[in-house]
Formats: sequence, structure tokens, C-alpha cells
Amino acid sequence: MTTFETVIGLEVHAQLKTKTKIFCSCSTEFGKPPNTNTCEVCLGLPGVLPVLNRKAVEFAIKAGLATHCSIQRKSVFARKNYFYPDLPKGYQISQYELPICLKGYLDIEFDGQKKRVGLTRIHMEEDAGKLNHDFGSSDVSHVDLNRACTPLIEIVSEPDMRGPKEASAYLRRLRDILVYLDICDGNMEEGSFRCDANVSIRPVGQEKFGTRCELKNMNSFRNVERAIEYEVKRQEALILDGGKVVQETRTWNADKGISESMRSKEEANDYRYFPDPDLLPLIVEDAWVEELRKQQPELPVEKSERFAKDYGIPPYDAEVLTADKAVAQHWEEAVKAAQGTEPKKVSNLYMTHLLKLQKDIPETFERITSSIVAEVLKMTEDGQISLGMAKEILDEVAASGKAVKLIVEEKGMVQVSDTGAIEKVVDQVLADNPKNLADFRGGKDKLFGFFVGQTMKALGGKANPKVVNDILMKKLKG
Amino acid sequence: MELHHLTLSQAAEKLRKKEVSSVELTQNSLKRIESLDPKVGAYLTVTADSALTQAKAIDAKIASGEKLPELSGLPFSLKDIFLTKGIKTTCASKILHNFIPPYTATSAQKLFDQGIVLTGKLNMDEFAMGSSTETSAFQQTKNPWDLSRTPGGSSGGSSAAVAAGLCYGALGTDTGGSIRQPAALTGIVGLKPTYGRVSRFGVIAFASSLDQVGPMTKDVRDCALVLNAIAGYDDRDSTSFKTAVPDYTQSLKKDCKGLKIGVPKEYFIPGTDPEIDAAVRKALETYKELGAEIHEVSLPHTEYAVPTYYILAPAEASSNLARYDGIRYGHRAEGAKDLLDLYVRSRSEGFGAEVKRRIMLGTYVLSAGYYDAYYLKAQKVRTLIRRDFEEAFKKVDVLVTPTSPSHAFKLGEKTDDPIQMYLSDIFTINVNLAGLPGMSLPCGMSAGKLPIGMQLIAGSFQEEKIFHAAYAYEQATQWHQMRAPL
Amino acid sequence: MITRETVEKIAKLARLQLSESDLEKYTGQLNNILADVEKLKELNTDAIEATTHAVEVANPLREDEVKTNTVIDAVLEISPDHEAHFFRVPKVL
Ligand SMILES: [Mg+2]
Ligand SMILES: [Zn+2]
Repeated sequence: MTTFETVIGLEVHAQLKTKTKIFCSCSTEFGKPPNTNTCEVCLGLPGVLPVLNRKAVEFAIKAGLATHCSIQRKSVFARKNYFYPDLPKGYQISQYELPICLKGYLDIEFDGQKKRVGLTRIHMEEDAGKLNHDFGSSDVSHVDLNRACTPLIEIVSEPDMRGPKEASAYLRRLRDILVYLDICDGNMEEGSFRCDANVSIRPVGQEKFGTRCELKNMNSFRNVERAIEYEVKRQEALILDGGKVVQETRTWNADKGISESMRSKEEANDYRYFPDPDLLPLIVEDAWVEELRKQQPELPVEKSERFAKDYGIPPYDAEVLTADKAVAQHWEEAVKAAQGTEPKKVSNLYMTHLLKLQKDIPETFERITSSIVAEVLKMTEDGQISLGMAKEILDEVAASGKAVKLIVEEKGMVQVSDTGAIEKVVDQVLADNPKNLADFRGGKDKLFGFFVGQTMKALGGKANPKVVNDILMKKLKG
Repeated sequence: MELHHLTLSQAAEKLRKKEVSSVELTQNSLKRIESLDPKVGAYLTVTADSALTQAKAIDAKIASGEKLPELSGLPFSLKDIFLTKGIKTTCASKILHNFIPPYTATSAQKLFDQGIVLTGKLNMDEFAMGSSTETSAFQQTKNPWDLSRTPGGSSGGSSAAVAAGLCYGALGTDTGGSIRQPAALTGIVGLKPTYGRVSRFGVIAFASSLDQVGPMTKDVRDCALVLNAIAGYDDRDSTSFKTAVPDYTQSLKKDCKGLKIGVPKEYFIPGTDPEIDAAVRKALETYKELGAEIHEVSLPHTEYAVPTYYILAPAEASSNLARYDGIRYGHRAEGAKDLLDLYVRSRSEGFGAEVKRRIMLGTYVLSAGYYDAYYLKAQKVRTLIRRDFEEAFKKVDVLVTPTSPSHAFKLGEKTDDPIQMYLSDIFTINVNLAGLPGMSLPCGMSAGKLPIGMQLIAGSFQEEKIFHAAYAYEQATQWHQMRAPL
Repeated sequence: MITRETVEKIAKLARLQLSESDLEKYTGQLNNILADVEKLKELNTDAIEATTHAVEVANPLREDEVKTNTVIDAVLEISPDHEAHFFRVPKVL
């Protein structure tokens, strides 16, 4: 039986986080009433002309630099002509023959393997508006042009990926980078990071690519994987059945778990691209690129490697901590503020507690500043409070924003380190549990934990564990 | 002289000397429109009420001693291709028959800021596609010199209105000759500035890389005044040029000593009406007398201009006119059964035959497999045409040519033959392809009492040289003082 | 040579509907115009750069500052069909 190899290329449309649209000064704010973020330009009225947003160009260059592309000195906007109600001018302004970025790559990791995926190009274009199908009567559609003319970059990969896992690893890496650059919010569900996949299969060993299908409408990483898996099976079955794959666009139906044909390429539009006469060539001088290069932030991969190396934390911790730029920054500041505390201990607090806390309380890292983390950790180091208390304090800070000192006072969280007081309690615990004491002394070492627990309980959890341990050890041995 | 025969400058002078009020000038213009326009057919919309309100406001300012710009208070009209907020703008097309713009074109706004009094919107070829104003969806404009003939096109409403003394000046647009050819055919001055000199924002697009806004006036000084008002960079038009605007009235000089005039031999061809050829040659004699040097030059790619234009302009137009889809504004067909039906019927009902023909041609040359053979080829030939001019302007300051190969032709004479019609722009199209400034000014009268125009062409942003040469010629001759017999 | 079928295809692409007689007429006219255009083939343009803009300078850039604009109310007013601040079209499938 023939075995097949999967070939995948991805086209990602990322919405740029500019304040205004790419060719007019309308706000790009999400969720406004229909058509209120519009003007004569993005409504496509007669006589209007596009004026290019400098920020959008900068963001495209930043994306290109982060993905090792060569930034083109001259790029040109073209018109892609087709009729659709969400396209007010009857054409989309998009870079075509001469895009702003060419030939880059992205290093990805999946299932423990490393791989380099080539980028063909990154070009700039305007988004279309939105059609609303569930408003009012069922025999009409409603056009909202708020999103029309929003800046996008389209990032086109080489057909370098060989399976769904690779594809989603590529997508995640790409999204992390764009989010890190602060040029895209990377939200797949809301559509600010959209992916189309070109999928084909070929017998293993064959050089020539098979006929590809374009998959659309996959609005999560999971769905990208599922849709590709489904598509590969569909194409295999088709070929093994003696049939042929037809080049077409297919839309992913997540509810049914299948892809459905949208239209075959024969009927597809003839886009009649030509350079937009309303815009002159975009010239990007080297000095501008260099200036932007200097502003480039450290990207997730570099940062994670540096964390592992400089702070001696496990690579896994470093990766988790750097997935979100704000968290990484918060953590690094906490490490610096908490001098004398092992970075690994700081990492543990984030990994086991704070990241979870953030899921429940989005303001967590605003209320718990890096210096609060350092302060609380220092208190545990000094034996002033227990780690459990530390977590309790942080929970309270996250929930209420109260000062640490106040919480400590209110809860009476002072750790008992007074040996006399602890000895008294330990004596009582030993007296109350003669059988366990005998067993321990008979060699049942495990019972040590029991005595610690009892002592702590009697002290309301406020005892310094180190002191309790020392005293217990001494007294148990008799 | 009667009020309506005055130039803009003369009327402004009278206004300044308080010999006449803006209301009087406006009322006089409106009365003349009322009595003569039924014959001429220049106006699609007359804005009588708002004009009088504007005029009164100007008079009040004059009375209070306020110092006003020279154009203040003068009745002026616009080709119906300029968007005017709150005033219907149709581009002479059924597809925009009900279109009330929510904003104003930059060039029009600049004139309003100078205090001009807008008296109305002028007829034109539908979407500026034509050379006789016969493709208008609404009415036929006639040449004030002979009502059985065309006023030229596409700015034929503008040329007719100025020539008939219905307004003191007008704006037109010129994509392949649409200001200069009608100016020539009606005996007035029309200037197409350098591409990028005047903002295109708010001007309904025909072919974006060729379209340019310009003045249509009774004489050269008026033309300079209007260009002063409308020229300059506009941050809403990326193709407008960031360079200082000179005061063009400073270029109006009476002698031509040292001026080098080029005569491109390819523009003096057997196909041109002999009277026109002779009138332009006579003008060259006048230039010699004024001290100019005359040099023969060659623009070897001239004959390729028309076919180049008839690829580039329709291609751009086919895309520019895609927005007229019946969805957000303009004409929508009744009872469409689905979206495709809505598009097809709205557009087919809304566009006239010439517009459809050009959309078809443009769509074809851009379609898959033909782009390189047609569009790209034409853009390359455009480069050759530009280079011809660049070479010529190394040797001379301005070029002198006929504006149009024929006099105003009879209405209906060329409507069934698109190629014949396209050839009326044979001397003007090159100038658009090269993006250069070109002016038509009167230089004679045929035996049959039809005006003859000559064209002056200069290098990029060298309008001052054109004004210099044009004014000197004009002052040495009487052609600009002739008025249509109405 | 453009055939009638090509003209029909182009009309569809341009969202135009042509009557039988228009189809006939346009086929002839387009062929005549394109025959004239054949003249350009006389010129060797292999080494010539295309002119897309008559005045070629760098494209100006706009700062990323929001300007509020309210033309939408006037546009909806003149629109052929609208509902609750949406433009309305026949159902798009
Ligand atoms: Mg795209
Ligand atoms: Zn806008």
C-alpha cells in the first residue's frame, strides 16, 4: 500500500494593533455599533483616496525583522479586484508583486524535534468589512464596514510543514512573536489572527507536489490540527479510491468535524491585479529599518534560553514563564528585587500559584507587583511567615489590592519562632500521643510528619517550620 | 462691457471698486443661466438660493471693510465631477442620479475658502468618458458659438458655461484632454496642471494616474488666479506633490525674449484641419516677433499615445467604477432576486454605453493572461513617451502644438464611431501620459466662426513657463476678447 | 480576436449584462480598438521600466491618530436600503 507524505503551507492574516485603519484615520476599536467606525474613505465613496498609516508600515517591518525576512526598500500596493458586499471599493488594496518583506524563516519545536520553516513573504493589506447573517429577516444580509480597511499583514509560509502538529507549532510560535512585538493581539477566536492552510499529499519519495486544497475558517489551534488531519484522511481516501483531488477552497465545520467545499477554482475570480495608481511606491530607507531593529524586543525563544542560562531555572519553567511577555518581565523583576532568594523558588511561586491565580483574577499581576512578590518571599526566607501564608497573602492582594502589611496584621500572621512556646506545645503533643511516640521510637520514621502536623495544627499554622522541626527532632529522640 | 462678458479679474476689480456688488453679479449670472441655459444645456444643477446667500454674506464683509481674496464674491461653477457637500453630484451618470455627497472635494473647498460664489454644477461626459459631452445621461450641451455643434468634452458643460458668459470661471478635469479640447472648441483658456499639482481628493475618479483638476477661464490671468487658489499638497491625496506653490500671476510677462519654443514635428500632420494648422503656424510667427526662438523638436513616440491611453485609462476606470454596485449609495435596481442580480442589473441600468464599453475594455486588458501583453506593455510605452518629452525639454522651454485636430464637430457626428471620437484627443493625451502641464488658449477663428485653440506644454511643475508664454501671446493678439454670439 | 464568448465572460466579470445587440456591437468595437493597440507591438520594450505614476516620489505616510468622522449618517440616509445602521443586501450565501 502507498504511504503518503503530507505537505502543508500556511497563510496567516494578522490584524495589526494600530489605533487607526491602514488607509484612513478611523478608529480600529473592536465592538462598536455597526458602521460607526467609518468615513468616506473606508465606505468607498466616490472621489476618496487612500493615505498610508506609518505605524502599520512599522509593524510590518517589525514582523519581518523578527522572522529574519529581508525588508524591501521599495514595495508596491496593488488592487485585487472582485465584487463582494463587504468590499466597498470593489477591490482590496494589497501588496502583490512587490511585498514589503521577503524570504524569512521561523525555527519551531514540536515533539522534541527542531525544524526551520521558510517564510515566502509578508505583505500588507486592508481587511474587508463583515457580513451579518443573523440580524433581522432571514432573506437579507447586513453589511457592517467597521472592520473594512483595518491593517493586516499576511504571512505566507513555504510548504515546509509535514503534519498537523508542525503546523500548529509554527502557528503558536508565530503568534507568540507577533504578540511579543506588541503588533497583534493574537486572538484567533475574535479573528485578529486567522489562518488558512494549503494542504496536499504525495506518495513518499515523490518530488512533485500533489493537488492542494485551501482550508479556511479554523479559529483555534486545535481546529487547525483537526481540520488538517481530516483533510489528509479525505485526500488519502480519495486517491486510494482511484479518484483525484480537485483544487478548491474548503471551509472547516468545527461542529460536524468535517470540511466542506466552498467553490472550485474554475469559478474563482480573476482578480485583475494592477498597481494602485492612488498610492506611490512605499520606500523604506535603511535608516528606518535600523532604527526599528534597535527597538526590537527580545523574543520568546531568546528570552527563555537566557532565563534558563542566567538564572539556572529548568528549561520547562523558562518556557512557561516567557510565553507571555508581561509575565516574563514581571518574573525577572521579582527575581532581581528578591535578592538572596533562589530564582528557582521565585519560579516555583509563579508556576505553582501565580499563573493559576491570574486565570481567576485578570488583575493579578497589576495588583501583585514584582516588589510585592519579592517582599513576601523575603518574609518566608526570614521565617517570618510560612509559604502557605505567603500564598494566602498574595491571594488577598490579588483579590482586594490591599497592602501586604495590612493583611499580615489583620490575619495576625506572625509566625511563631519563640522556642519556649513551641517546646510547650510539642511536649503537649507528645503527651497526647503516647502510642505514636512509642512507634516512632521503635523505628517508624514516617511518623515524624504526623508530629509536625499536630504541632503546626496546635499552633494555628503560624509556627516557623524549621524551628518546629528542630525541636521535634530533639524531643522525639528523647 | 456687459457684466457677463467681464473676466474674473475685471469683475473682481469692479467689486473692489464697489461699482457692483456680489449679489448683482450673482443675480446677473443666474438670470443669464435662466434665459440662455435652456439653449446651451450647460447646467445639471443650478444653486441659485445658496449662491445668493453666499453673495449677500460676501457683500456684508465688503461693506464692513474686510479685506477679501481676489476671487471673493464671483460667480463660479464646477464640473459635476467635484463632490460638493449637500449638493447633488452625478458625474452625469444615472448610477449617481440621486447622490448627495457628505463631503466636499479639496479643490472646490479651496475655492469656497477664497469666497467664490457657487452657481451650479456643470454637464459633462458620463464619468468624464468622452470628447463631446454627448455621453451625459441627462442632457446635451451645445457649443455657444454654434448650437448645432459640440462644446467638446468631457468638460463640455464647463467650457460652454464660461464661453457663454454664464459664469466667470469653472473647474474641469482632464484625463486625456478633457479640459484643453473643450477650451479650444469654445474659445477659452483651459489648463491641465502637472499631475500632482492639484489634489484629486473628492473628484470622482476616471483614470487615477492621469486625472488632473484645472481651471477653465476667459483669459490667462484668470487661469493663473484660479490655479493659485487650488494648487498645493493635500494630505488626503498621496499623489499630490509636496512643493511650494508660486504666485502664478508673477509669471505674466509681455515679452518672450530668450524663450525657447519647441515645435514637435509629429503634431503638424495632414490629418489636422488646415485652418487650425495655419492658425498655430501664425502664432509661431507672433512668438518670433515677441523675441522667442523657435526650434523644431521631435517626440518620436507620439503616434503610440492613443493606443497606450486606450489601455491604461479603461483599465484604471474598470476598477475605479467597481464601487458603483448599488449597495451603499447610488442607483439600485428594483426587486433583485439575489446579490448577483442586484450587482448586474444596478450597474447595467446605471451606466451608459460608453462607460460600459470602457469598463469592458479595461476588464479585458487586466484579465488573466493579458496583463503583460496590454497593461504592462502600455506602461512601458508610457515610459518612452515621457522620455521623449524629457529630451525635448532639455532643449526648449515650452512646446507649441494645436490642441485639437478639428473644429467643434456636429452633434451626433462621431457618436457611433468610438475610434473617430478617441482621435479627437490625439494631441492632448501624451501630456497626460507624461504627467505634464498643458494649456489650451485661443489662437484663431475659422472661416465658419469657430474658435481655434493652441496648446502650450511645459516640463513637470513648470506651469510658470506656460503662463509666461501664454500671457505674452494673448496680450499681443485679440482672440481672448472674442465672445460667443449669444 | 475577441470572440463573443469572451465578451460575455468579461461582462460577467465586470458585473454587466449586455443585450444581444450590444454583445454584437461591443465584440466588433473591442476588436477594432484592440487592433489599433497591436501597434504597440512594433516597439521593443524589453529593457524599459514601466511607468505606474507620472510623478514618482516616495509615498507620504500618515501618523496613527484617530479622527472622528460622522458621514455615515448622511450616507445611510441616501443609501438604497439600510436597517438599524447596517447596509442591507439580498441574502449572501
Ligand atoms: Mg490576503
Ligand atoms: Zn475610515
